[in-house]
Amino acid sequence: MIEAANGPDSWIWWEWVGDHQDEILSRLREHISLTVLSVALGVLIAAPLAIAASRRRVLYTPLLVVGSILYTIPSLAAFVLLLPWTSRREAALIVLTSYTILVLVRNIVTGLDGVPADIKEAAQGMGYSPLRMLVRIELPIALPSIVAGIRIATVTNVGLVTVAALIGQGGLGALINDGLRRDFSTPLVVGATLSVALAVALDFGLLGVQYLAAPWQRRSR
Amino acid sequence: MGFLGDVFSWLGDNWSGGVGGGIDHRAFEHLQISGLSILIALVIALPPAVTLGHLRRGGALAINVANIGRALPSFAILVLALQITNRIGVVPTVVALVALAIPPIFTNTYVGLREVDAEIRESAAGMGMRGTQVLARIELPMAFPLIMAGIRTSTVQVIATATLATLVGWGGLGYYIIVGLRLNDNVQVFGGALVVVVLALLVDLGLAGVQRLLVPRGLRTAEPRWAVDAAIKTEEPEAEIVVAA
Amino acid sequence: MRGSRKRFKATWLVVLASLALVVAACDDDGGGGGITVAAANFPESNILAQVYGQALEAGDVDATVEEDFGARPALLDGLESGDVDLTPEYVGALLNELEGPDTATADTQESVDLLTAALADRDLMAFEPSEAQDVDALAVTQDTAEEFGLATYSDLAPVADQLRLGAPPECAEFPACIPGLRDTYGIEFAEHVPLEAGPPIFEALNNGDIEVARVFSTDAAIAENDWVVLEDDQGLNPVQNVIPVGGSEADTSEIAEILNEVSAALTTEALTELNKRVVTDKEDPEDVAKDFLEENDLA
Repeated sequence: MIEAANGPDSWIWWEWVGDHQDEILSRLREHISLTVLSVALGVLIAAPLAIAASRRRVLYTPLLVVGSILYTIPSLAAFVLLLPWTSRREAALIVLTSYTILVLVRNIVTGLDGVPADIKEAAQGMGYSPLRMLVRIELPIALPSIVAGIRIATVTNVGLVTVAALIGQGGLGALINDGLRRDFSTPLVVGATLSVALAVALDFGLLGVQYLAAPWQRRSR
Repeated sequence: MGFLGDVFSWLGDNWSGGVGGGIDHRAFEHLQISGLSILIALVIALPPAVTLGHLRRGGALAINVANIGRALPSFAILVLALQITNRIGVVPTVVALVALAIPPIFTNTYVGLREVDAEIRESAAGMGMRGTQVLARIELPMAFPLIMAGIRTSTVQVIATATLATLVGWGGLGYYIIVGLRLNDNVQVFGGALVVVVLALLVDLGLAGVQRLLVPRGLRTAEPRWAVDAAIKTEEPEAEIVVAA
Repeated sequence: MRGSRKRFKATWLVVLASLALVVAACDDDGGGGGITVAAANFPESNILAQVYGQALEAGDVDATVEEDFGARPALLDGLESGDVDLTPEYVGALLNELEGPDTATADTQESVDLLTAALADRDLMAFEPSEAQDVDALAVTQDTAEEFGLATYSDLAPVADQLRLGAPPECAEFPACIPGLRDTYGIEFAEHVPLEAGPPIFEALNNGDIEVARVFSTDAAIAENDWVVLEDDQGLNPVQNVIPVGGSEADTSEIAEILNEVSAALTTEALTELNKRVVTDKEDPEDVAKDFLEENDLA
């Protein structure tokens, strides 16, 4: 009888996965936590900046320049350089958040720019205050672009969080690290696969949010 | 002298020479491996992206490739490549960087071609152009800014990520970051990171210049050339438009 | 129209509320009560942290073990801030980290005394060192050893220009590594191939990408591949006895008694065997630590 020997040298040693479900799940939870928190913080920071930039155009280019530079810093170096001043969790959050700013600002500005001028004029004519117009007219129309930005930022950060394991912030990167240190493909493959699955799941989840929040967008043109 | 002063004198002291070469030598290695990876990624990604974009097929595929690619941890690919190929140095590094570079190039090329206005394509066909002529004379030139945006996004990411190569037997600028990290020398970490950032921005500016030279005046966009990432505007679940520099 | 606007508002509220919930729920912060034993991010440190933690538990001291806490600087920050109460360390490596890379020597007592003083300056303390050591070492394959007649570091000096060294990138600047090999032995390798410690170096040695590998003396791969570990005949490498290091929370006679018993029982052979079970056989540090304590009547 030929039996596929599934053991420590297999790509995935299923018995190990079964025995380590708790660890894998808690790594996944840590990963989700860092991703969601950093993107949420990114939205909180990027939204006012982007709204200001869409009103005052001169701000846009400097914002993009700063965002681009932040985006270029190798993540590992950024983590390490912050450590003298912050806790490890703060360092991870600051770096991950700063990577989202560029994409979010761009997409929010692009979305706001896409609001047709006649709609804004009509709203003004109806006596909408600027704030009311922003909340009721502009943001809803810009929503697809904004959600698209959040999706990119989220998916990108799912990949980046794995690097945070190098400064002991856990997440799925800890499994990858374990695989490297022990020449053990099972945690490596599990970590990488879950990372991709998580990205796809969050991406679909955000699409679902957009679907719920912008019912008028449901029908394709 | 403050921290920044220390960094600048570190840059001066290590600019060239030394065991394994100075910053200039490592920057060259860094560019070598990044350039090779981008070239391979172009060879792999462009043909299918151009074909699918021209035929306007496979939107879901394009989007999924982009998503999975963004979420794949480069660190994991590097280690897996090391284990699979059983090689050190160039091979695992290039495998990891190519995997990182493909998604933005693929998605932008695909979307750029697909989004060429149907009226323009039809009138080109009406003038008697064949499919390949429409592709070469109309679609590719119109998609060019977007394709370049994808290449620039990939390049910046590749240059930033090539720092990991120093863990698998290829030099490059990551050396300073890793060594500084291990020896608790923040000046070296910062100096190394600074050189990587400047290198990435210079290369991006260079590519922006190439793009400006090659794009017909009528197709230039008003977007600042600094912007390196492709922003995606979603219209419907399976159709994403990438708007970029 | 009106209905959809209301619904729109409601959905936004739901979205915001769920986001807030997720953020709140996610902001987990570990750290139970008792003594937190934290490990550096490599297998042997995880094993030792489990050994300490479980020994404390067996001695009725409340302890939690945190594996893969981070690299040495992060652990020291943790000890000083009180996030970490206890961690397994190595005499030479820790002393060099604290007092500069050329401080530790090949003399155990001298190095331990220096370390104790250096820790006291930071309100930290060390327990008794164990005889078990995990020193930096150079390994070659049997074939290379025979071809070049290598048994000691001194044997390397005349032939090093024909050999490539695989070692972590920082080896180029670390006094006990490449600079020390040059200054103490006159060894100048043909090339330094930068490679992450552990499997990448092992694979490179077996593939012939390098001829000399920087390893740790307790690495399971040495026995597995039948490599030759060269003798450091002029004592370049500092001693690396395993030693528990703690903050003020861990500074009790009860804890000291337990940890000193553990250190007394720990040998280099035992440590190598524990490493093999975790790295080669893919067992969990938690399980092998438990076996070790039971075999030595410590739990």
